[in-house]
Amino acid sequence: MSLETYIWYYMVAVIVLTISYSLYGIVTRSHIVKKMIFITILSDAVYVLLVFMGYRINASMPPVYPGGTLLNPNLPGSPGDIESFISRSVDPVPQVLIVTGIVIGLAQLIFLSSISLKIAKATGTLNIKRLEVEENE
Amino acid sequence: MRNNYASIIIPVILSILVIVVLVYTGLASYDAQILTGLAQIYLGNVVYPGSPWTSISTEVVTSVIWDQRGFDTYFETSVLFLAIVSSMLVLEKTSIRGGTSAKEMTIIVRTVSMFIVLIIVVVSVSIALHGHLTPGGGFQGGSIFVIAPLVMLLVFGSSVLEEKGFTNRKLLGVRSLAVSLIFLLGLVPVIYSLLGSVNAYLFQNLYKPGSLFSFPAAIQTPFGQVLLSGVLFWLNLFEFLAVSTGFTLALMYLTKVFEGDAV
Repeated sequence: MSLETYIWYYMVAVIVLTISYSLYGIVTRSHIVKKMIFITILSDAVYVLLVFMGYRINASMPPVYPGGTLLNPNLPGSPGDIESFISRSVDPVPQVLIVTGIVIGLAQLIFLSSISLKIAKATGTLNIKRLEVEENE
Repeated sequence: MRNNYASIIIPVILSILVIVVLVYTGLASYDAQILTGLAQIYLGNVVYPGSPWTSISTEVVTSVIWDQRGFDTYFETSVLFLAIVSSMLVLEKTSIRGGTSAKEMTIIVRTVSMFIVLIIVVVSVSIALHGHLTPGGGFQGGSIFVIAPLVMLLVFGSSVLEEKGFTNRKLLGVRSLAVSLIFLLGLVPVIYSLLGSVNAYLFQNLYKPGSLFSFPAAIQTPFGQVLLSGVLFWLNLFEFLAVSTGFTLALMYLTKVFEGDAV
């Protein structure tokens, strides 16, 4: 196993461990803000994992045809250009999914934080265990 | 105690399962050489002007987001809009007693942050307007832009944006206008096809087989021909407006509630 392969699988393992640790945090922490932090870590780790899935061993560039400007777009002129572009580019589909995921993640974070502000206003605490104690009394 | 063991064991089992699935399906395999068929179709057709499915754009990701998957992105923008509107509804007439009161920071922080805010705004507008040519786009530019009002709110206090003329009403108006314009741009081909007897698809960008409708791919200006990639440039612009004003609004509400003022 070469050094690059070793580093690659080490990185994948680290990302998956980050995902599982953030799941653990979401389950065990009782403070709502800490849960929100772990949700953010979870979604970011999933995005990095998706970027890793799009990697190709011979890819040397993002899925953008090089050299374009507003006044000089430099689009590929022949099927040969397209062939070399496809052979050098990484997978665009995971990156498209990530852009969608980031939008939804931010929307969810904004809604969660406003709801938790409302809970803090109503009860004076954001700790779920204390909320349960107050309900039982 | 048993609960604690379960909450450790379940994530470990889950991560082992995820690694096994990733390795066996080859999704996270280092030796993967071949692109999936979908990726090959996107890469080969979007950038090549001779293809019938082209977007005449050098950026594959933005083209797929707005041209090949336009419906999806439109509804995703609507989800963001709904989230911001509903969080404003939740926060209405809320204030936390004993919150930290607004205080301006020292002159060093104020002077430096004025320069930084200017740079952030310029970079975000550039990223949004070059969305069809270089990595980036409306959403990415908008979320970079939001750092500027956040810095202003933290450094100058929660009322600085309203003093500069960015009121709740104006921001929400621009937000709603941008989302409506995205929808209207998607509706333009349908209206065109109803007026004449031409086939056109909802959220269509350029020529497609079986439809003669097309937005202009480039326009002639005194400086030369400017590439717009049909509707991609305009959608990026509107998405930039929608995201930047929406998040500025949400941040303003959150800062105000946190500093103890009723919204």
